[in-house]
Amino acid sequence: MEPGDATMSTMLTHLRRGALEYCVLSLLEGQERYGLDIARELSLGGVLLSSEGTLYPLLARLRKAGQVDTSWRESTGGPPRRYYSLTSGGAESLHGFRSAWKLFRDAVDTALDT
Amino acid sequence: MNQPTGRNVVHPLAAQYLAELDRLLVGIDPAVRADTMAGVHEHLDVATGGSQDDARVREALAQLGSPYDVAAEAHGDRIAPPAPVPLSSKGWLPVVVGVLLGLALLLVVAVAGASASVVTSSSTSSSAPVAQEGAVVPDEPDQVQVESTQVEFSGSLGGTFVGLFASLPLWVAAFILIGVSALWRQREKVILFAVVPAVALAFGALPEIGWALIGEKGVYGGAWIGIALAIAGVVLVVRLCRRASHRSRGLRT
Repeated sequence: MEPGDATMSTMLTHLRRGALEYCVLSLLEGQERYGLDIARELSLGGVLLSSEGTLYPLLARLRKAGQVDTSWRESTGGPPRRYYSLTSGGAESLHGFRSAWKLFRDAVDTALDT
Repeated sequence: MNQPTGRNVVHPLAAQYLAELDRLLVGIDPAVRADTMAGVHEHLDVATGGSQDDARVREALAQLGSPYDVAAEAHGDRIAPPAPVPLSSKGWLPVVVGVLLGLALLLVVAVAGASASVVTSSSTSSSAPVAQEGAVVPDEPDQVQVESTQVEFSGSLGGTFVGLFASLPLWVAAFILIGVSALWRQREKVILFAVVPAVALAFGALPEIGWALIGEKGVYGGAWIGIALAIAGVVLVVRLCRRASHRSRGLRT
């Protein structure tokens, strides 16, 4: 993305909706992570997450919906950290999204290539 | 889920950010709001490593994005209302606190200084020698002149309390503003709270101690040290208020 490209930024904001939460679920597949770790991973490239802080309302909604769970873990040289993990409901959602995303992506690619 | 204790001390800029975010999250589901706040709070703790360094905190806040972006995500499609900088972090606050504490210091020093005094008084007394029996009493008997000099010091401590009382509205107003503001750290607030009483006590007690130890010179020595401490107090207040002004400007950018 070109810096300062407002149109691109708006497009990415729209595209993120509906996809970002599954990217979060995917990051939690098979391993627990704490907030900053997830934020830094998603911020790479500046495409999926433009501001790290916007991750937290999303994580809060996922937790309320029972897609993720949290637990406190001691950390070395600091206060305990909140670790997020995937619930079985979250794993099911992720599985469903993977299928839907493949269909969607193929359809969009086909439409754009024609 | 209960939040464990043992959080780091919150930097004023981080506290400001969290307060703004919390305000912008009004109307959000309470559980989502509490989780969002806890997540952002912890993110700041971990990102700064508990450091109170201004630059590190600013960098962590910049990466978080503005509280409006975070709140907008929480509100979904609804756009969070723009919020002005709260009263407790306005740029004029440190200036007003500085002026109030400066005037309070001036008043304490002026009243304590005016009420204390060293009075030097001389008195001359004369006495006639006792006439001896059988002696010829002269017409004008010799008189013995005795001159004595007395130095009195009326204490400065009482004046200091009068000064503290007279300046009460000034420093109480300053205390309230310092108490509600997020522009100072806890340690800096303690210093600002203590500076007027500490200078007043020093200014009142040092001449008294000087008087008790070495007399008149001690009074003047103590007073000069008191004045030097008062100036140091003013310098300290100015520095802490300038630092707060700097932080207030940082919040607006």
